Amino acid sequence: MSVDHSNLSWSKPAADRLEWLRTRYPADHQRALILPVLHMAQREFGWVSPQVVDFVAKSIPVPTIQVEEVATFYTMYNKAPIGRWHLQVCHNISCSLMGAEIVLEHIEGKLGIKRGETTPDGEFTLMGAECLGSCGTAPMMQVNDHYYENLGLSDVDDLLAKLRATPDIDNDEANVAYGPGSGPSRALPRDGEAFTAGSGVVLPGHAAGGH
Amino acid sequence: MASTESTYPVLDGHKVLLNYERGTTSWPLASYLERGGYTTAKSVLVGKKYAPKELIETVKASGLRGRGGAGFPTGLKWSFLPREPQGPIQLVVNADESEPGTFKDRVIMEENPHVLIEGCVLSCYAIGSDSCYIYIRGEYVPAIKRMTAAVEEAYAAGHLGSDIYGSGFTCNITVHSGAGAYICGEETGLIESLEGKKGQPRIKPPFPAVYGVFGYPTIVNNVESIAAVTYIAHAGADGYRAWGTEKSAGTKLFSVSGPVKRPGVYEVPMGYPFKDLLNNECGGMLDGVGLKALIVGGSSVPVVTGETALKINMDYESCAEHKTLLGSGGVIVIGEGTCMVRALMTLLRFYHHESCGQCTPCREGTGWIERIVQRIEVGDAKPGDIDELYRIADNMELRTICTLADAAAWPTKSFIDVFREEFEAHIEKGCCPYDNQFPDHLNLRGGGKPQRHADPEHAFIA
Repeated sequence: MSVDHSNLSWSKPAADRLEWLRTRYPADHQRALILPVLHMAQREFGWVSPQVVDFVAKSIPVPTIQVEEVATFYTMYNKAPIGRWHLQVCHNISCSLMGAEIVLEHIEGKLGIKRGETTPDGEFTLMGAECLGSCGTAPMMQVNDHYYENLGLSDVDDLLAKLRATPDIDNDEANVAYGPGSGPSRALPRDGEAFTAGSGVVLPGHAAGGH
Repeated sequence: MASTESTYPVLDGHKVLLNYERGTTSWPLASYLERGGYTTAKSVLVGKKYAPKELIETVKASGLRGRGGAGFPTGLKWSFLPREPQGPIQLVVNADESEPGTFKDRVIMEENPHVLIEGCVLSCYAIGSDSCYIYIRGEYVPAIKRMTAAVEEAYAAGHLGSDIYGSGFTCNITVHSGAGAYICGEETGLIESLEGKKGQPRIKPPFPAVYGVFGYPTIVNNVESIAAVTYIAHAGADGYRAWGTEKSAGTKLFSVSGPVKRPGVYEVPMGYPFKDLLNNECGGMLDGVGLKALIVGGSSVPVVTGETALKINMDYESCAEHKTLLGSGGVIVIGEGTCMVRALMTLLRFYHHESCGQCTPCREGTGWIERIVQRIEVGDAKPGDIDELYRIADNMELRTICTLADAAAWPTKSFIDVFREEFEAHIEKGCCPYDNQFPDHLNLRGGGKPQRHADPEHAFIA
């Protein structure tokens, strides 16, 4: 995502949410806002650059070093720009038992990149991820905010093609993830009823998570 | 004022957390109210079914033990709060479910979020708190959305907020998202993270009950524990003890993964035989796959052979008797054809990656043992390496602030104890004996699919 980081400002929903967040933590412990505000910043600005760290620090406000140490400790904050689609293939034990490494190697071959790399066209960043709590529907991968589960190699091929053909990441989705304080509540994702526990993607007739 | 009698359906004679038809729209408030939702909170807050101290005693008497993995009695933990607390008491729900093989809390939050909220209200009432944070791991976007929506619904309908049901009791819940760190599942690491810091565990004492989040007295409990409080408050200690054993009371969620026909999350009474869980709930192993080994309670607990697994009952005592731990209930089934050295290597990569770096035995040890297992797997090991591995694991145990080092050491030692001959075979052969072997259930290589994934079409979101 190409957002100019030289002159940062919050969108209206984000600014509203920031004010709401202030009320949810004790007034003398506003440092607690660092994680939620960094999440919000990553959604707004694509990745957590040094400028974003500064901006978050000023917004709360807390010393920059406190934001820096959080941004570098947690894996979900991207300290470098990533592709439009962030593919995270879980390769912890349960997924490995069901073929996660095969899925990873397949995607590496398909995209011509190794895990940790981004395709030259900026479409895909591929990573091996540690347990994402989707062990009963392995192998699986997370693409941006969505889980894709029970993957076979042909499913992976279909998915990559569909992602490539999808013009825009749904911004509504990002707003929903901000939760309360960002205006009217739209807490359920647009896939509405098709959204079942244990599954980011529901396979027809296939109730994820057992039973 | 409507009746303050509580109602609470039990499904299949024992399901109290997943007491609805799975796969249906079970999460909205309306659906929860149909199941008798919030009648228990009403019976306690308005009907004064229990005074706060009585509720603590009831939870103690119920025998509920922490469902996050440690199994510490929940009621006892609550009673550690100081008599004269310094500052407002906080309830923190640990929803940082990251133990490999564990995905049960996710199901509660996504399918039955209000049972957790009602449990939070009741628990806050018991411990004298008006403030609760639910710390959910950041990767669980659907769970975060569902919980956030459910909390909003509960506020709008007056089940949360100030003066709930005109009882004078106030309870506020904030859903807080983590950002990807296994260590934040450790309760003091979680507290640090909630405060906006690196999730590095604190030295104890002081324990969180005395000095927790923001320096306030804090109780940290797992999602499943708090959700169970709702039923315990409804049915009383004896009602909960209708299931389980003396030392392992009630029901428990088990999340089963690996090459079984129906992996997933199942609620069964404590003490339920693993054999039955595997054969009845999970439909048995995938066709043609034998049961080689079992990790019964999440990746940190000692592994057992398939033979031993079939003797285990799903409770604390039986697991201890068979030299393992019930842990979080993350049941990882390992099939024949799996290389145990490779499986351990996968686990150790994880612990190395997730070590927070505070304590030397963990920071250095996790990487050290990972490297040794790697060289055993690729056939570069020396004869003394297995003993070296064991010795290092031994030296990591009980020498660090939190138990992450132990969580890496236990599987390491147990994999060697139980499958030593496989480690030796790697060294003798100078390679992995399982190289290029792909059991049928891994027939992904040719573009095939796992057996249970029969549906040709995907409802892709993208």
